[in-house]
Amino acid sequence: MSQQATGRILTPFNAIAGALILLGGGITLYRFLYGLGAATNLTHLNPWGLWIGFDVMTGVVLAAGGYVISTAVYIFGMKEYKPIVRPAILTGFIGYFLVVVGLVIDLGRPWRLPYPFVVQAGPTSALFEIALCVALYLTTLFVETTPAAFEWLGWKRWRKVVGAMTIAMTIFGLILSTLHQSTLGAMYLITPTKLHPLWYSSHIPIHFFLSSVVSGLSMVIFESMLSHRVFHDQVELSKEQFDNITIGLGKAASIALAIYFVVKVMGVALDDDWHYLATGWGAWFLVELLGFVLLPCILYAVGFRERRAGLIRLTGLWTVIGIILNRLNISIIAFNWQLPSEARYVPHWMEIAVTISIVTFGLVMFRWIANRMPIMHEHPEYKGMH
Amino acid sequence: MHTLQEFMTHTKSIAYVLGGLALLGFIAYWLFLTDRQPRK
Repeated sequence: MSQQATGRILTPFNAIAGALILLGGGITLYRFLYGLGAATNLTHLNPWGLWIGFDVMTGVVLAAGGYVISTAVYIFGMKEYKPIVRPAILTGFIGYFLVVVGLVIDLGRPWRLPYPFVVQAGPTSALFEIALCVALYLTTLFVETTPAAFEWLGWKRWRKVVGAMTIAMTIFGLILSTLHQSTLGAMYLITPTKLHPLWYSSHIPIHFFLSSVVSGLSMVIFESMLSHRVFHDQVELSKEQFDNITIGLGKAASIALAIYFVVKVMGVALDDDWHYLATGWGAWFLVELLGFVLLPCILYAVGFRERRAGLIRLTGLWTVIGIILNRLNISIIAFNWQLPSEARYVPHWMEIAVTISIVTFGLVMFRWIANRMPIMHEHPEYKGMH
Repeated sequence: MHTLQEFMTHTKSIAYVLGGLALLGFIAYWLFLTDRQPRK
């Protein structure tokens, strides 16, 4: 084992994280004992709430960094981004794992999770495709994470086997991500009477896929900024190398945002939704479109043009907030917009607590793994091999 | 607008104009993005 984490167990971070996870665990137990009605504000009018809107919809899009960066490095040959492949894949793996955890808490009856595959397949359903893709992609991300684990454990033969599968796993992961990222949007194609017309579009699968590319790039920029602060003793990159990677990602994110912006405006034009822009919902839509799509597109471009890595990192955080806002708008805020305010869904405090505990669990998992396995640095015996 | 034909003609014509503007805008955007980048 190449590296062992050292230090005290009882730190302020561990104490707060432990308390949050215990609280989430307790509420989860309560939810399984007494049902959704006791722990959530879900109703027949609003059957999907925060656990689907944030834990699943947002979780999947924020975990897109794995496929975006591994495709750039292993398919397009952009080797300069190799140092951030492993953190991106680990973030993706943990993200998808937590998506499944959140989904199981919402669905209940976890022993029925394999039903879509082995008992009652529904191959014409968008949900079936998502279930299949997420299950396969989580497995793919697990395999892509194992080289670091095998290097840490010293299992050389297994490391060689999974190392030889890198390109195949990357192509498989790209196909699966293209499918399920867009299909998460396709699920909303059956909701033209429920989702506000400014967010509803017959092109919504394309919106979801394009925004996943934006999200993947922005999340990697934001996550690498945090990782380089928290794990600075492990990082082998110089400041100049790290800044160059950030600036390159900023350029890609700016281009992706520009395309996403044009496609979103086209959606408004093709459905002739212009008149909605003069309403309160229109103002909220413009906040998202101008404040969280066009503005970061320009800021990323300025950051790349003037080589300001700090600006790009801040824009990464801003864009991640915008992506979260977009998914919450579609799944919760602008959903059922015509219902009277007393029938609208507002998350129960227990739903919020479980979501916070799931995010905290993800942070603890990432830290535990990154402190032990060669994620932020290369293993001395495998320099330049992954 | 009373017919699907009228609706499609109206929305498609705006979309084509916007598409043309987006292509022109992308040239300006690309020049802004890359004009300080050293030529290879």
